[in-house]
Amino acid sequence: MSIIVEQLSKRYWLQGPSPRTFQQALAQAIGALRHSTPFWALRDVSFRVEAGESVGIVGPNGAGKSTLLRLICGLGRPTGGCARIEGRVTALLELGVGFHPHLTGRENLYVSAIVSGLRRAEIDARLNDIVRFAEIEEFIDQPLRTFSSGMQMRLAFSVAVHVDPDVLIVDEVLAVGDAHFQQKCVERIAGFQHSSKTLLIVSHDMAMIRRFCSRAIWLQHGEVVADGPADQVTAAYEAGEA
Amino acid sequence: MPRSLGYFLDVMATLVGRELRIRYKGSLLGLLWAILSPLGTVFILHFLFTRVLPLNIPHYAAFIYSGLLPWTWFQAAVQTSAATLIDNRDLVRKPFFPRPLLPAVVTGTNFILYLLALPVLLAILVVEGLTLSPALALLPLVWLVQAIFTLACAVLFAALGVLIRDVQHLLGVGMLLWFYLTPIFYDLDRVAPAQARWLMLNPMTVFVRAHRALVLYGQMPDWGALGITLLMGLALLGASLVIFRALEDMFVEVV
Repeated sequence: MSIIVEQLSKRYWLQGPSPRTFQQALAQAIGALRHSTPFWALRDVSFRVEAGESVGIVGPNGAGKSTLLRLICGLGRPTGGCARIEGRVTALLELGVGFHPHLTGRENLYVSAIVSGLRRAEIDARLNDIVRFAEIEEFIDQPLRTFSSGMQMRLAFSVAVHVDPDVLIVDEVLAVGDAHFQQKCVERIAGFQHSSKTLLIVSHDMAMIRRFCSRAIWLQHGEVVADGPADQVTAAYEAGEA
Repeated sequence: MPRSLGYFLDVMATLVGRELRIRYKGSLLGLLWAILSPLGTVFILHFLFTRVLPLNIPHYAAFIYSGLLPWTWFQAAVQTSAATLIDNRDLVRKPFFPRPLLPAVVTGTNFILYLLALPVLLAILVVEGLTLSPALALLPLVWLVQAIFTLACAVLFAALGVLIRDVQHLLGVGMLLWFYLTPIFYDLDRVAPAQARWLMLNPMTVFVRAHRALVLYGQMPDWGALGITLLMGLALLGASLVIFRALEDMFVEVV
C-alpha cells in the first residue's frame, strides 16, 4: 500500500468583507464566526493506491484536486479523516522551490535537489544528467535571473524527475517547455511507470491521464463522483462536462 | 519519510551556504562586511563611552568587541528567524521539508558570521598589548551552550512570527531593551549588587561574561552559571520544538 486516504475532509472558512467602520468591526467581533461561511474543499474522500499503481485525478477547477494533493503531502491539517503516504516521495506541486534569481543555475540546482530529499553525494553523481536533461549545459554557471522562464522550468523539472522517488505526485506541471521537452518529460514519466513506481497525477489533459494511468478518480465539489478504470472515468467526465 | 542525520547536515550546509551567498552577492566587500559591521559598532560605542561619557574600563575596545560578538550572533539569529518562514515561503510549503531547519539555518549562518569576525577580536587583543590565553581553547564549550539557547529562541520566534506578524516589530523593541540589559558596553561588576543580581538571570549576561573571562582575562568562566543556562536552553529548545510542531499545520496554510 502506497497512499491511503480515509474519509478525508477539509473545511475552509471564507471571510466576509472587512469591516469599514468601528461599529461594523464591533458588530463582527460580537458575532465572531457568524460572518465567515464554511467552504468544504473536500468531503469524505476515501481511496487507496497500491504500490506500483498509476492513478489520475480529474475534475473541474475548484473540485478540490490541489487540496487533496496538499493534504496527502502533509501540508495542512485535515478537518476530518486522514491521508498517509509511504516511501520516498517527490511531489511536483510547485516547481522551482528554493530558486533564487541572483544565484547561479548550479547553486540553485543543489538547493532545489537537497530540499527535494537528495543527499549531496547523490546530487554530485547526478549533476551531469540533470543539467543535460534540462539542456542548459552552457548556462549552468550563469545567474538564474539571466535564464528564460522556459530554462528555469526545465531546470526545476529536471531536478524533480532525477530525485528517483518511490511515489511521484504531479500537479499539472507537465506543460513545461516546448513540445520537444514535453516529449522528454512524458518519456521520463513513462519510464518511471515501467519501473513499477507509484504515480499520482492531477491533470485536465484526458489524453495524458489515459496514457499514464490505469485508474482515475473524478472529484467534483470535494467529493468523489467516480473511481474506476481510467478509460471509463475520463470518458464519463468528458461526457458529463460537455 | 524517515531522514538520516547526514541528510539534515546536508540541508544545513547547503542552505547556510545559500544564505551567505545571497547576503553578500553583488556587494563589493562581500564577506568583509561580517568584520566591518561589528567594527563600526565598536568604533561608535568606543567613542561614546571613552570620550562623551567615559566609563574608564580598561582595554575598552576589546571589552566591547568581546561582548558584542556573542550578542550580535544571538540578536541577528532570533530577529531574522522571526521572518524566515515568510521569507522562505516556498520551502515551508515544500512537502516533507524539515521546517524547523529554517531557524537552525539562520542560527548557523549567524554563527559563521561570528566566527569570521572572531579573528579581529584576537587582533584587537594583540594591539591592546594583551596576551592570548590558553583558556581560549575552551571557547567552543561556550559556543555550544549559546547555540542551544539561540536555537531555542530562534525556533520559538520563527513559529510565533509567522502566525502573529506583530512579533517581528515587537522583537525590534524587545532586542533593544535586551541589549541594554546585557553588560555589553558596561561592566556588570560596577552595577549595584541589587540590580546586578537581576541581570545575572539573563542568559546573554552569562555568555558575554564567559567570553570575557576566556578571551580578555584568561580566567575560567562561571561553569555553574553556564551549566544552568545549558539546562535552561535544552528545556526551552524542547518546548520551542513542541510549539513549532503544534503550529506547523497552521502556518503551512497561512504563509
